Amino acid sequence: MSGPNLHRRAMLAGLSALGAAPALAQASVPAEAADQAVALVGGRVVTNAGPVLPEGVVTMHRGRVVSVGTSVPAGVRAVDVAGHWVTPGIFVGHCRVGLAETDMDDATNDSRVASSMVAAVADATFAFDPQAASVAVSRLDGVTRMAVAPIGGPSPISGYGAIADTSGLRSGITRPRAFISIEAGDRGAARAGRSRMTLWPWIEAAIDDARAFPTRYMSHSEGSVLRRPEAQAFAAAVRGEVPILLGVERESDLRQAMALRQRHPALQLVLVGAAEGWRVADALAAAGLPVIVDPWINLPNRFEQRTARLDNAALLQRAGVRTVIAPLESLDDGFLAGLTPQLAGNAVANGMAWDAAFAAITSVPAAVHGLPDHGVLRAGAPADIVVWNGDPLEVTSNARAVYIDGRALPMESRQTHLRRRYQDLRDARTRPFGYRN
Amino acid sequence: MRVADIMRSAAAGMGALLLAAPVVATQSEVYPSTYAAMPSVPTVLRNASLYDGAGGFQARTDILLVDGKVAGVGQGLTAPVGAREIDATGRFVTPGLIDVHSHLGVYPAPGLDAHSDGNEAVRPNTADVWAEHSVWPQDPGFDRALAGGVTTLQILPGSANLFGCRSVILKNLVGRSVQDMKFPGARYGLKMACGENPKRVYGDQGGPSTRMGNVAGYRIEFEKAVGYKRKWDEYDQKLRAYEETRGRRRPERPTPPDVDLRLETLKGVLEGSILPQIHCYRADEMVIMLDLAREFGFRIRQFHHAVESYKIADLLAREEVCSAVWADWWGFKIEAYDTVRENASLIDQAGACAVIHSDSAVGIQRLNQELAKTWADGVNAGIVIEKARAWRWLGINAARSIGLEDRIGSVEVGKNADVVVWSRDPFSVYAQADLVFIDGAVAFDRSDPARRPRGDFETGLDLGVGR
Repeated sequence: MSGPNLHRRAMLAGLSALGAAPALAQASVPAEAADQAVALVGGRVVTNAGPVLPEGVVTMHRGRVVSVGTSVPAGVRAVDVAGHWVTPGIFVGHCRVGLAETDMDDATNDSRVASSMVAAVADATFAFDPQAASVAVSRLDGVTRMAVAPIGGPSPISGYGAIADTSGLRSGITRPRAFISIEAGDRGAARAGRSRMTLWPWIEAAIDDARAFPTRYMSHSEGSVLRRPEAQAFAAAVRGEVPILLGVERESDLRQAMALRQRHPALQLVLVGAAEGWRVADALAAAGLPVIVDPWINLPNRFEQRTARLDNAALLQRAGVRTVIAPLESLDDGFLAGLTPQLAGNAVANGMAWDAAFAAITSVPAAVHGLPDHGVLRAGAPADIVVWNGDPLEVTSNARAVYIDGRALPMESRQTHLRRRYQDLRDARTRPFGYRN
Repeated sequence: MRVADIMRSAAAGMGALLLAAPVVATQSEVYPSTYAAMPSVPTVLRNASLYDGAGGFQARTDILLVDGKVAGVGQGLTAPVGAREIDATGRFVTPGLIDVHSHLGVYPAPGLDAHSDGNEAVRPNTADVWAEHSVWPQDPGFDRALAGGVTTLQILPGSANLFGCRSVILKNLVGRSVQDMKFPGARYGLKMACGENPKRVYGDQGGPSTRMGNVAGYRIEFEKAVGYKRKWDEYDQKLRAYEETRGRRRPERPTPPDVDLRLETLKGVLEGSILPQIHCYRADEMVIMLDLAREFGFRIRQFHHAVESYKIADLLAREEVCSAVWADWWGFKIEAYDTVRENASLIDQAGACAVIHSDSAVGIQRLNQELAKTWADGVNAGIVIEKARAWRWLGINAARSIGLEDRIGSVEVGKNADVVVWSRDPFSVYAQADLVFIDGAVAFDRSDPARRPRGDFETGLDLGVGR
């Protein structure tokens, strides 16, 4: 079998110069229509499932990776990606992309549930809009999947989150009702008696209600804290069938979360925030609780984040905690989730190993969200693949091609159209902008 | 002594020749700066790669800092006896970073209601308000920003008001009072705001409730300021006549008009001594603001959050107005919907003044990354700009946008010795500020806990090792 170098000479849809990247994405589209396997040839391949291949070949067919190696299988359409990095797509472990068109206009913003809403449980599945501008913008940053989560709500239970893709196609939903979000810090307390004294008993009572569903709710009686639809929604999580993303920041709340897990070993708890996680890293590792952290949180913005530090992610990961890096509060997670690799790069600058930081934005969030096939490049995995013009964690790198389920997607957003429209201002008077692209 | 009196007596002291020149409202006249540079020793940085902030790059150079100033840049510099030698081989040097849009101190951490001191949202014109009177020097954000290489900040209020307040330029050396941080001799800015925010805040409080109402609001206030300035100009003329005349023909000593603190600030704008810093996202609104400035005869120094500057970069170049921009923020409101990632590159390409700002206690810690991202996005779109030229967006352009280009913003002989030594090329996400000098003294040393300041709020906290 010929090596990548031999094949590179025979490329049809080659990527001879970086400037040809948009053509790469478009040139690949017909391949899918022709139901032909596509091989990305000669790139630096990060698989998350083995060593880096300095000049690897990733072949995909019918939406799946069929092989990862150093040779080009016969009968495939080869795309030259020499000089580029080839990695699993970014899996944003927590964000609000696709839930709002602009944040400040209530009519277009479905991401924040009002505190007055009491009769139903929020479900991001209904709100995710694959056509939202933020979806394409995230894709252009190399994001292929993401956990979209509701915030707010009348009780500490914010509602169901979903796993979505950034293809802009169909519903975009990979898994509806993939997790349930509960706030258990300052914000949770604010919705449960304004005190942690009532918050944690409320959570305990909610678990009890959900466990007793539906019997407790027969004969028109209500639960002690949950109404019928809430108890119904929470029941699967209490049985351990759906992960619970629990928002906790300070050490004492992290300890409460660990105690909760001890009382209810079936719960699949994932801790979100964990600004003081580093203080209890060993205990979290021993408890087997994964965390989703924002490595830019290093200010005491709230007292519950009093000892937040830049190396929190590194310290947690090194202690053996399954650590996800995601934008939580440091940047706008409805619109800038595509900066997740920058967050991971900063974790590396503050002591995290590169492999761990990259896994923290790909394979670890996928696994934590119950999609262990995602976030890795190996035979059989969904072909969510990004071709980058450099180290994906570097701020100077750009995604040049994005494949989701094996489909090459356009590297266009309304931002790229606007840029092209105004890139040349010289004949502003003779060629009005409304007549441009 | 009151502001107006102070300004006038300062002007009178300058003598007849200078009286025609605009009165310069510097920060040091009332509530004066008590900033004192830390003691420093002559220091030479050896074999550094230098982005000088003015567009230049040197792969291998020495930089000499003496008495708080840059005393030499070049290969093989001879250091004074006793100078501290720092091997910067493989490391990069830039000017100290300037954040022209920060709310540190006025919206400090923890972000409690009781700490919310950044928007005097009681009426659309609060030009009488001064940001410095809200600044809490113990905001932990200051030392985080220092660790990111920030040596100078313009602190602004929020954008609730058409006329927010006077900005204040601070040195990032935390003292016991804001006066200890005030940049000596810096000019004030005036924060103004276009668009959504003022009309949202005042829509149900008597207005403005529309963008046209916003513009009427500026015009009404500037009309008042013109009248106010006329009264004071007449008074100044009479006073001069009084002081220059001796004997029998001496006129009666004129009585000064009443001081109006709001109009006093706007008068400073009309005279060019206070620099308008205008929050304005949309291109069409910026063009209206340029006409407003023409109507009343003042110069806009800078538009902030100027996400649509790329649409009118040619006009901004002609008018010599700077645009303070983010790399990628967008979507949080409809006037921020048309962001493009290449904004700074497109502004620069048109010959206009691009500046990177943070508006954030997070972003201010990594302005170099914001610059790197937006520069790379430009290159990715075919707008190829040299890195050294791009560094002007945090260097001389930033300095110029707050009127301090003669003192900071570049590593050139005679400039203040505000210098950052980076562990590697600061266009990398992995780069860290190893050393930060302010006026030639080490303000931050990543390797030395004794040179990593920590404010009162965090004293005694168990922050573990490092931060």
